[in-house]
Amino acid sequence: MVLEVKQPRAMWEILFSTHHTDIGLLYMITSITALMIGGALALALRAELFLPGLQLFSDPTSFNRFFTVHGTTMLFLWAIPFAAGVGNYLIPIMVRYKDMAWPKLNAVAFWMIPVGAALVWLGFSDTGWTAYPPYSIIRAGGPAAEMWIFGLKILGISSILGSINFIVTILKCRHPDLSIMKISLFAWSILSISFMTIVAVPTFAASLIMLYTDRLGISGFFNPAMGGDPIAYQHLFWFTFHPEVYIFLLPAVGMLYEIIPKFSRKPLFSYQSGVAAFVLLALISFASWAHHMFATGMSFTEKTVFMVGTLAAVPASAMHVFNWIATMWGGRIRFRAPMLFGVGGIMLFFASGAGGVVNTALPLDFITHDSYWVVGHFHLILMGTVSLTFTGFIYYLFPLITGRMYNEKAAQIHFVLAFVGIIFVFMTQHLLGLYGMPRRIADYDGTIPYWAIMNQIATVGAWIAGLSFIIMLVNLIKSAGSGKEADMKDPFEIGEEYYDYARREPHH
Amino acid sequence: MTTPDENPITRTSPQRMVKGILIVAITLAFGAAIIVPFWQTMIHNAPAASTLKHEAPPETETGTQTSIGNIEGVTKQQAKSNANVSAGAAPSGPGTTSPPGGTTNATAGPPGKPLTILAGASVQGSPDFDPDTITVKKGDKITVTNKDTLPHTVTSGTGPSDPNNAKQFDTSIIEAGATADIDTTNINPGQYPFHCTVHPYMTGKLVVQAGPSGPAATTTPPPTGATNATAVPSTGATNATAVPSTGATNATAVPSTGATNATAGAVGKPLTILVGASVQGSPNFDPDTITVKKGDKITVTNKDTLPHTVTSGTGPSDPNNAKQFDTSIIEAGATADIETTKLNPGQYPFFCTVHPYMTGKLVVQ
Repeated sequence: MVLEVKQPRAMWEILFSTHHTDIGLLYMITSITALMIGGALALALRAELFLPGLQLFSDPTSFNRFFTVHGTTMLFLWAIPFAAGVGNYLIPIMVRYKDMAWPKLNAVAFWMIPVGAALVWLGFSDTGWTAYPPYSIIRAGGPAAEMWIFGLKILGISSILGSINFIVTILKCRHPDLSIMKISLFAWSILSISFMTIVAVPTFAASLIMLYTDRLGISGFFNPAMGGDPIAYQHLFWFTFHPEVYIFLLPAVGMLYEIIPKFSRKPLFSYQSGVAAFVLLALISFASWAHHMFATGMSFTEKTVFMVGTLAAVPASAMHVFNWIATMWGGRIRFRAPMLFGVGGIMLFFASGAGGVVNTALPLDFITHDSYWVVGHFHLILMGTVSLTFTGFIYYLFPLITGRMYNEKAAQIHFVLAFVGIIFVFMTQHLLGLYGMPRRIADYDGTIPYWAIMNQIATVGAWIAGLSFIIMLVNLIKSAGSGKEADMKDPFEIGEEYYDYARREPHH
Repeated sequence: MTTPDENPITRTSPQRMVKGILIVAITLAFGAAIIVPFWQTMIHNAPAASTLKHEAPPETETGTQTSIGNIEGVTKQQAKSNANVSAGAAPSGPGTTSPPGGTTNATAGPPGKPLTILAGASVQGSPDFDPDTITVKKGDKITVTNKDTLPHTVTSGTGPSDPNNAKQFDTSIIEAGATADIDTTNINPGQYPFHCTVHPYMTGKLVVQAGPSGPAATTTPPPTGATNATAVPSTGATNATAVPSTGATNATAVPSTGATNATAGAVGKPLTILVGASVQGSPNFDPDTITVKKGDKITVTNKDTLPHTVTSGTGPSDPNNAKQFDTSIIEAGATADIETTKLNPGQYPFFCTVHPYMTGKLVVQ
């Protein structure tokens, strides 16, 4: 909690500070809180699916509300704010500037997040995180859907403001001695996602307004009864949210570029290929949105174009993976917790990437569409790759932020449990999808072969993963207060200098 | 980040960690304090789609003053003199597919000849109507029972593209498990194909034979052409009055049915909708039970600041609601008349379709 900027300060001074480390820390604390809440909702969902029939939820709509808030929380209140928090904390240090370009705008962008979070959590909408019309405009209940719309609106504005700040900080506030091809790859990842956010998010912001006026009945953009087209919403939505998938992923990739060379104790294999892959992914991510909608009756030409566009992301992603492998190759690897999480994340990136290739292949997409395969696939990338890497980076930044060391043994137990749990849950969900289980159901037929047992395996896996994150929370809280004092030169005892981004001669 | 020449490293103390955790916990506790007590309200779910009523938009009726007998009465009137029929002839609005020809949706009475919509009828290719061809004598009543789990209709015509569909008879939506009646009194002998407007592949045929008919047979039966003539101006007129639902349009609506507005001058027995009636639990109708003699007129005055209705039935889920009388929307400060000429002596509960918790009872002596 104490930041290195000054001597211990009053809490309110941190809360209402505009300094980038304070705001970065607030972002991280908020997002970890959201991770815990979203995780609790997920455990409730999995517990419901342990047995056929309804046990925990009185009706399927409550189940819908839970998975809606779970999805919204994990994507917009965990993945995006955590990346923004780490970016806030590290980017000014990495580009050697005293602060973000506009500190007050930075604070405004952060403080929009609790407001958006309150709207999402207090509303408890039941539209699903995609809020597809016509359900979301005609039948979705009460103020909840409106609150969700406004919550997402606010979160979208927040991420756009944050992105503008990052772009200006990286491009205009860099130290004069530091060329753009010398900044760290993490800074490159934040730069890419900032540009992607600015291009992608306004589309969704506009469609949120259309959803709202449709709900009010004064427009019929997506209402078939008024001549509108629900499929138009899906195009607008996925034009934002397919790039958003890479907005979730690229910060994790950037963090892996921090962790892998450090714990391999070997310089990065190829800086240029990393930069090229970031730029490629940022561009290609806009060429594949409609692969989420193959089943909506597009022409064969459209489908083929988007299939090829999707596959074009594979080489760029593989460039990153080969870069990490080549960096680790022949390195003197020390498996401290951040490295464990990083390597685990890379392994699951393979698996989820392979699943993605299956999804995008047209004939296979129609088999897996809207089944648990899809749930397993995107959770494997978001939980397996993104969240595991983020968790590793929490451990990696811990000594820098608190000046203390976390409990290494507990962190390694956390990794083993989380990794095993994630494989239990999401690999089984792939299989469930192939056995025909549809998404978003609160109840299932227990007589269908293997459904019950596979759901039970998945639920047990979710409990294991949930337990592991409770271990992390206890570890972080306890170690931040009374952990071993870290040696700030080399807290992980790997014989490497901890952080080379010392703010020497900050540029004013 | 420190470099050797900077300040010494400061580290988090347990006290400060506790303070930080408290800030997060208190914020979350505030959220929980809001969400937990109001959980039931927030989690309140919309009713299932299958229970939705397909009611007409009330504004399409006359603006502020309405007086309505029961549907049967109006249609008989229609049968007697087509000249008299115009906008007011469709008090139930276009959405409920008011019966232009034969009388449908007649109130519950002795069941007629059975026509069953079988379970699973909504699946294309499955058996749908039982019997597929139903033969009745003119004047017989047909009772349609929907045994499927989805809403269906029995509508004359070969399908949605038939220009004359729903001209002869139309039950409008029959909810799952509900029944509806088709009166063949005004249908000429002949063969009438019918279908379900929701699932147009569900088709059947009605054969009406000449025979001992009811009293209505002596009146000039309204053939298709005649009903067609009345149907078109009625929709046109309702459209015209729909947009500006104020007193001005009322003037255009006045010369509609003789029965409705001829009595507009005289004030009937008063029924008042009290101020604040829209708040659940507040006093709503005054008197709560209104007793009139058959033939008396009731004048409903809406003293509240919101629109209300006085509609027969126990509530929106009552399958027979609005069968006996329905004022449709009465704007704030406006009045409407209820005609009891056509009502049989008895007790009729009524409610407000906008605020179904507003209930009362009409006793006709």
